[in-house]
Amino acid sequence: MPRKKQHDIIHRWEGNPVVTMEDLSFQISDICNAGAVKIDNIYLLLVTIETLRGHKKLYIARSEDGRYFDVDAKPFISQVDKQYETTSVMDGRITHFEDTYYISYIAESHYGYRIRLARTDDFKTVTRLGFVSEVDTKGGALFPEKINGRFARLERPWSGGRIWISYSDDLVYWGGSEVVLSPRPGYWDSHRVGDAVPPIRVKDGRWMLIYYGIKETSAGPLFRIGAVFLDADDPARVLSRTNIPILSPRERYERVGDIQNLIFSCGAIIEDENLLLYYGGSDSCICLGSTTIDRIDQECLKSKGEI
Amino acid sequence: MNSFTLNWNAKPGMYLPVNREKVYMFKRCEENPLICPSDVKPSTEGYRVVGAFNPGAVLFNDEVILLLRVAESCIQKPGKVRVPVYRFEQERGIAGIMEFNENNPDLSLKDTRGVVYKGKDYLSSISHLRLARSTDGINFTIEPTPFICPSSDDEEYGTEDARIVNIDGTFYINYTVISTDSWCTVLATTTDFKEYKKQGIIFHPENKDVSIFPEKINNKYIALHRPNNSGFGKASIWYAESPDLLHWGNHKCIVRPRNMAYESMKIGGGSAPIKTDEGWLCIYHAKGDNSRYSLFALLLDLEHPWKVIRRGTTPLLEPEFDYETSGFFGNVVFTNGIVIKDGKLFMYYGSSDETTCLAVTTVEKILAGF
Repeated sequence: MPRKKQHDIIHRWEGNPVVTMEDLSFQISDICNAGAVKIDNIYLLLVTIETLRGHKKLYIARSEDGRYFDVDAKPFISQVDKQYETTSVMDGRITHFEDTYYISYIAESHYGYRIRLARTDDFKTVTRLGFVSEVDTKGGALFPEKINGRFARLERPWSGGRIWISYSDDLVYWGGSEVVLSPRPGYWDSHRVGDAVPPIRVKDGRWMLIYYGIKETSAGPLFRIGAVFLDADDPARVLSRTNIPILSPRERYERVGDIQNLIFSCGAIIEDENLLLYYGGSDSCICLGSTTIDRIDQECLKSKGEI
Repeated sequence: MNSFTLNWNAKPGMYLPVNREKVYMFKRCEENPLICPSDVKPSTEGYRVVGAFNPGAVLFNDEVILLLRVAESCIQKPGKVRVPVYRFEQERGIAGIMEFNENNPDLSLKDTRGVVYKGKDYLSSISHLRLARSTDGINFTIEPTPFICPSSDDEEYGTEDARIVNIDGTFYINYTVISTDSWCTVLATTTDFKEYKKQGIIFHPENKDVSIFPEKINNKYIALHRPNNSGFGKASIWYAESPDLLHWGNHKCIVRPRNMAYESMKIGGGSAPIKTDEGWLCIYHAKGDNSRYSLFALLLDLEHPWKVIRRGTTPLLEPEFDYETSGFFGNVVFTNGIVIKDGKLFMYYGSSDETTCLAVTTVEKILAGF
């Protein structure tokens, strides 16, 4: 009897990992956490790569089929600010907003982590906008449309391990901060949660948010992926939430690497009703998993009352 | 400051280098401490007041208004452990008491600050904000009931350390709210100190010590704030701007703790900055070796308030008198309330996380002294 392999709601591509360190034309230390977007039939990833020196930068990878990628030899976004992004830039999340693309990424310096916004129309040139968050904040993700006339973003302040939302008229001044999602004591996401993929508007208007949850174990933190649906007009209102992870580290490339038992996603591509989730495995490769929005929705509905 | 060793247990004047007389920048009020916990009526039956300190301060209708941080714990009973708790109904906090048997196996004493019961923390004291009024700035009448109480789950562990600033007749009050996972800063407004309106969180966790400037600069409201950049050096004073006091951005780190015993742990802003001819005068607190708090002067550029013009190298005030060196948490002087009255600078400050004190000086004297 063949073993039943797929436990997870997200199905891994048989050819995983999609991008490994060996696929690059240059030597690096780590590769992980990709933002994702599809433009004119080209699948584009914004991959976080750690150089041998230990500094992270964002590189573009392109593919015609979403499975086989070529990674640029030069970074698309590297550290330019002399004060707040001196050591690393990482975790670029791409939001297609009207005619342009916003990238929110994490800038690291000896002041701590901050979220910075950048904008591009073509992924050839990039315009850097400001540092939008307070210090010590990760997981910046811009919503792809305005909500009640204002820009909205998610973020994960270090303290409390929760996902917050803030609003802005101009992408510069942010306020109205509220908690969106908290860790659930006793569950697989008991220690900390953070937004993974920028929110996706589904057919009936609700927001689907793919997030990551962490459980602390005696062997260290266990990163897994889950999903929630948020109210269309008030995304701080959680409508449903998976009570089980939709993806957990199981394969060798997710279990063994520079950071073990780690899967982490910053981007997904929607094709019809299918969700293509690009995720980093053990900080050493990029992987692909797929499922349908409906399948995630069904799973969320099972967890009524456990949000 | 480097030529001699500081002795934190020393008496007044002992920190000085030989042959140099200590220059006091402030005159402490002889009535200090002005307000003690015993002067404050508990908010709830079964509570007792353990601290009345760290007041916000502002002038209103010729009166000095203080917004005290009132910390309350429970009157204990033999064989029991009693802690204050708030529950929330329709955005209103209802104070109560949680009582455990002393030998309950699920109960563990954390330290003096609280207990853990079945994995949940309970603090031994919770703070609310209480008004006190005075016509002379020294003798205060303390209101019998709270002004601002914890009002939601995110404020479960208390409301603390208010700052009040008068901008065009509206009083903006910011205060720290404490919850299970950390603290952040909330803004509220009032025009009459009878009712207030909560405007929401303006700096998310972990962030406190917010001082809002009393006027717009370059058409923007300005605030200093103190995020807790954990793991990346010591907590520092940041600058932010806002078009409306609710949305904040352009954060910049402008003042970092110096490599000195007084500032070895962290620093944070105090009351609203005071406009002077030379710049914006701020009095900030520094937490140094052995968790000892002292107060320093800082001058920011009038037009570009993210630029530091001058910064004191010796403290304006440090714990020296008994009421400052011993108390609920000894060796703490902390100010978040200053008013200018009759040409004098009245600095209200919390001593040892327990009482409210007053020290008086003039803006000119501070400016000439650093």
